[in-house]
Amino acid sequence: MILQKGAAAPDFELHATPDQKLKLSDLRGKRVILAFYPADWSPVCGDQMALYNEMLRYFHKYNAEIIGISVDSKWCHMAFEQDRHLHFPCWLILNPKALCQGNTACTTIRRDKAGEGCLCSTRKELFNGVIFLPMG
Amino acid sequence: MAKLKPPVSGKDQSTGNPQASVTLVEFGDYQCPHCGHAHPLIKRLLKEKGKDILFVFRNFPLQEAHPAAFMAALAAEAAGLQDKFWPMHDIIFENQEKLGGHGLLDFAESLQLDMSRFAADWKSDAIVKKVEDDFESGIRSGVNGTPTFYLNGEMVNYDTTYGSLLNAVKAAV
Repeated sequence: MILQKGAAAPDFELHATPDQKLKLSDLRGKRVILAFYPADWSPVCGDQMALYNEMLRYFHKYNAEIIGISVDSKWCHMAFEQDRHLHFPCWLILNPKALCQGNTACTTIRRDKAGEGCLCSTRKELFNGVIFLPMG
Repeated sequence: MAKLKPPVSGKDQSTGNPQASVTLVEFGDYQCPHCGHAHPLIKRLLKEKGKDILFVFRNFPLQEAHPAAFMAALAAEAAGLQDKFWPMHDIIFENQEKLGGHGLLDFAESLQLDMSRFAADWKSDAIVKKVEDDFESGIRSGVNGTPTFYLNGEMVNYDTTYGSLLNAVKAAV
């Protein structure tokens, strides 16, 4: 089931670092961009995360935070964040289907440099827990 | 295809023919090797087709990947306040390996800029805002790497060859 625009986002908790968990509701009051991507280190997605990293100050200008979400292990995320100097967290999701079934976000958005092909599974912008717009 | 936002205006750095029917915009990063590769292609295009083209450069410095890119963009814009944007633009792209350290100051001196004015302008709020506004316009236009070109507002399918630029221009003239 896909949440509709204007629907409240369900809260969920994921690993932010190996010893730290964060809930979506911890970010209440900010716009939250969830960038679902297939894997750390994958070439196209890695480039996309790098671009988001360059865009951080612009996200912040609009009171937005971005969080990467993929199925890689928390140790893998840590190495990826360090290697790419990412200044935003990548959260671990063990079972994306479970999250989808929990009503979070489940559309497939495809976009690459030419506006076609490839890409990562889902992005939804959340604001005060309300789903606003799919990006991309 | 992605469209240029906002459109070209008097705030942009431009060269070529202001009356031309074709406006070519590059989003570039002064420390990016692919932009260094594109630079002589653009020079050649302006030499051969300069009467038909207005060329605009907007800054898209990827600061995490290229630590000197943002400072270089500021330096070129500051040189622009002394009517030396394009000479500074050229000298940076032709000497990318000398970016960093005193490189940018050396370039400014070689162009005989008023150095005290340059030093004041270089890190001024207005110049920083110009570069940041350029970057944001790139994000809004769908730029996700450099160089990215827009011809009359439409993203160009640039494949790193001169031919891909020339053909896009020829199709539009």
